[in-house]
Amino acid sequence: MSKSEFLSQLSHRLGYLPYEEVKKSVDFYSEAIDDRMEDGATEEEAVAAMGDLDTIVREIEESLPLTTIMRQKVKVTKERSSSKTLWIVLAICGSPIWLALLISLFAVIVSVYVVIWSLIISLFAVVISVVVGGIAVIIGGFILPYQAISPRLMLLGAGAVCIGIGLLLVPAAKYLSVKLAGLIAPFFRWIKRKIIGRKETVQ
Amino acid sequence: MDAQLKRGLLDVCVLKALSKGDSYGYQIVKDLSGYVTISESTLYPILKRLEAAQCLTVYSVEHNGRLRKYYSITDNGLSRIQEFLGEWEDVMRAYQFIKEDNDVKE
Repeated sequence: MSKSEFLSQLSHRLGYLPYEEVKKSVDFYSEAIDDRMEDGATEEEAVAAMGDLDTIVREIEESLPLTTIMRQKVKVTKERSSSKTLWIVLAICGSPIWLALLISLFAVIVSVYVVIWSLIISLFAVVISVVVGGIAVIIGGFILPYQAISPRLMLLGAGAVCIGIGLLLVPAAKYLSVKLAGLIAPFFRWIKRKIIGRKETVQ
Repeated sequence: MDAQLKRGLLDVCVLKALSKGDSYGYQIVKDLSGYVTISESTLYPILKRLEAAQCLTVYSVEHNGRLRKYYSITDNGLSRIQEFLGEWEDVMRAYQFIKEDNDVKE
């Protein structure tokens, strides 16, 4: 790749950033290539020594505050269709958007947490209700009139079956809750990685 | 190497290279090439960061019909080097301890 090709690709890739930022980067790499060529490298070699364009662009983007990048991306998408006044309004309104995003991120985290715990609670609620239902049916069997023997036997039997099923479900519910609770820690790790992950990829 | 650690090391390496006199991008890369792996793409954000932290100042000099940017270390930058050396004395002590322990086991 020739120097001018390299620089035009670079400024194209950074095109959405503030002009000042693009110019500084292009100047820096232009100077670096010139210096290498003065030192005896061919144009091709000097450009190759800069490294690959993706890395260069990523390094530049990562050195900028996230808000600058976001604001520029918003600006570029809005610019063509809107007036300057609208852009100023957008810039001023920018900070509440960030706050809202932050709050919703927090809300999502909390709700996932709540969902996991409510699943656990509902599991136990099912088990307990089966057992309690069984007990109630047995009690119901006892308060039936003395003559009704066959319905009474049926109720006692059904109650015993319910209690049995309920007790059998206890270990299953326990196992599932442990699994569900186990999801919480990886979930928080995942969220954290999502938030700081970008920074960690820096060389 | 841990990204955070490497970044910190490179910052101080660049400052050290400048403490020997004002220098420009390619010269810094050359000066450091014997000690750390650094390329222009790594150097650029470091210089920006150090400038923002007022550890260095920038000025342009004409060279062969083009402008070349020179970087000059500030007092802030110099004290940053001192800070680094102070902090790393502790690290080196720990390193010695860890290393000796390993040698004994081997």
